[in-house]
Amino acid sequence: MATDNAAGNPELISLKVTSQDNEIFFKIKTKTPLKKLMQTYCERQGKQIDQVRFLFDGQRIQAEQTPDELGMEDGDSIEVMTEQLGGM
Amino acid sequence: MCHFREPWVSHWKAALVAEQPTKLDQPTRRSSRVAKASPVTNGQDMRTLIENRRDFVYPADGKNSVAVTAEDYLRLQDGEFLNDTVIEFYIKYLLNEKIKNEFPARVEESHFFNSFFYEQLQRKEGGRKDDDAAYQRVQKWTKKMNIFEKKYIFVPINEHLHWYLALIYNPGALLRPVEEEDESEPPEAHVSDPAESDSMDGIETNPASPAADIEIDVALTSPGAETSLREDTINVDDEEDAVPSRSHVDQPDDPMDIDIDDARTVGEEEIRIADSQPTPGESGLPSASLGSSKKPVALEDSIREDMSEGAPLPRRSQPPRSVRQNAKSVVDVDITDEDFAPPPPPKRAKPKALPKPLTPAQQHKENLRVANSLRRCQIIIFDSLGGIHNQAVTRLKSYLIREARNPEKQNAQITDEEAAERIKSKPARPPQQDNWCDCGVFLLHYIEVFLQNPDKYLDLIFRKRTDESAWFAKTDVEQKRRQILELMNARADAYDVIRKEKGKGKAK
Repeated sequence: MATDNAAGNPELISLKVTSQDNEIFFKIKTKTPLKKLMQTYCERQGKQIDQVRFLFDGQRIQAEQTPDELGMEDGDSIEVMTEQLGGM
Repeated sequence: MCHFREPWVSHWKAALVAEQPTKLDQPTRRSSRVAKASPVTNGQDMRTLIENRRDFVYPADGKNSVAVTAEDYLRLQDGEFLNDTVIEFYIKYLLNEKIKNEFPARVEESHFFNSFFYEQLQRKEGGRKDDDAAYQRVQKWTKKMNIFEKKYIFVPINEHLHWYLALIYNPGALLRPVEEEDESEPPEAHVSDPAESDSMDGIETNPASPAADIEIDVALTSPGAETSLREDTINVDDEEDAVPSRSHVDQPDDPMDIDIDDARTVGEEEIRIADSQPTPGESGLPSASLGSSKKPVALEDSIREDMSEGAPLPRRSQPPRSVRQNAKSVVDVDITDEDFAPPPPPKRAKPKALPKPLTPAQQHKENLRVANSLRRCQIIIFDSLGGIHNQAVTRLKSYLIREARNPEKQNAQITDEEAAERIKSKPARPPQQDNWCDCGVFLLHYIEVFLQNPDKYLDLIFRKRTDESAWFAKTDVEQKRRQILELMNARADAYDVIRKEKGKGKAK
C-alpha cells in the first residue's frame, strides 16, 4: 500500500480530512495510529475530540487504527461529522 | 415535540439546547415519565449504572467498531436525548450478538448504514441540493458490498434534534420489473399460497370487535374500492387511524415521479422561509385536508410537506366520532383560524371502535394487495412522532437509483418511470412516544422488534386495518434506557479484560 506518492516516501500518504466547513490535508505514516491525525485536527479546528466522529468510507475510525489497517491509500478522504442528538 | 412547523421549531430547539444542554425535557412531562419508568424491578439502578461509566470500544476487536465514551452514558439518563454513538452501539450489539444469536440469517439479509449516511445524503453544498454530489459523498460506503442483495437496509436518520428510521425493504426489486398478481380477479380464481394464509391468520387473530365502523366498511366493501383507489384512499383517510399522507405516498397508481418530488421540496423551502410562524390549528388540519377531495391541490401539498418534516399526525387528538361527522366544516374553520394553540399531548382520549372483520372476499383482496406491495422495493418510515418525511424518501430513492445505475456497480438500465413504478414508500405507523425525549429509544426498539419478526411487522405496516397494540407494549420501551446502560457496563467490563490481556501479552 502507498508505494507511490507525492512525497516520494513509500510510508507516507496524504489524506484529505473533510468537514462541512473545509478540507485539510494531512501527511501521515501508514503505520501511525490515526489518533495523531484526529488529535491534530481537533486542536487546529478547536473541536473537542469526543464531539466529532471520523469516518472512512462510512465506518468510524478508531484511534488505534492505522492507515494500513484500514486499507487507506494516498489521496483518500476522511469525513468529519459532529455528534448528533435527538429526542423529540 | 414536533408539534410546530419548521423552521420556527428548529430555532426553538436550538435555543433549548444552547441554554440547557442537559435539561431538555419538560419538567412536568419528565416527572410523569420518570414516575412510570423508575420503579426498577431488577438489576442495578440507573445511578449506579451511570457512576460506572467509562470509555470502551465495541466490538472490542476494533474492526468496524464504535468507541463509546463515559460522556455517552449520560445520554441514557431519563429525559436525555440519545446521540449517534449510543444508537450505533446498540445497533452493533443487535447485529453482533442478539439478532446474530437468535436469527443468524437475518443479520446476513440486513445492512445498516450509520446515522451519518443520511446526513451526507441531504447535505447541501452552496445552499443547493445536488443529487449527484450527494451520491458521490456516499458512493464508497458500499464499495465492498451489493446492497441489492440485501433484504432490509436500515437508515437511522437524525434531523432537527429528532431520530427516525427509514427501512429500505426489498431493494433488489428496483432491478427487475414488478410481477404483480391481478387484484381484480375473483377469489375463486386463486390458489392461495401459504404466505397469504399466514397473513390471513394474522389478521383473524386480531381482536376484532363487532362494533362496526361504517365508514371503513364503506371503503372496503364498495365495489369500486379497488379500481377507484383515489376514492378508497380518501375514505380510509377519514378514519382516525389511517395515515394522512396515504393518498400521497402510497397510491399504487401514483407515479411518484422523482422530479415532482424535487419540485415539491423546493416549493416547501420557499414556504418555510416565508412562513416563520407556527401554523394554526395543526391538530385537526392535515387529516381533514386529505379527507376532503374538494380541497385545492396546492393547499394539500403544502400541508403534506409540513407534515413530512416531522409534525405529528393528528390521529390521537381526533375528536370522537360524533364530532367527526362534521369533520369537514370543523376543518375549514381550523385552516382560517389565525390563533395558534399548541395541540394537546398525543394521548388517545378514547379507545376507538375496532372495525368489523373482513369478509373472505375482502380478506383475499387485502392479502393480494399486501403481497403486491411487498413485491416492490418499499421505503418505510418509522417515526415515533408520526412524521411522513417525504424529503427523506425522495433522497433515498434518488440514492438507490444512482447506486443501481452506477456503471461500476449494477450498471442497471432503469428509466425514471420504471424506478417510480418499482420503488414505493410507506409510513409504518408504529407506537408513538408520549414524551419529549424518547425518539432515539423508540428507533432502537423499532429496529429490534422488526429484526425479530420482519414478516409480522411488514404485514402490520402494509395491511389497512391493524391495531397499534399489535406492535409491542410501550412498557418495553420504558425499560430500554436502563437495559442499554447495563449492556454498556457489561461490554466495558469485557473490553477491560481484553485490554489487560493484551497488555500482559505485550509485557511478555
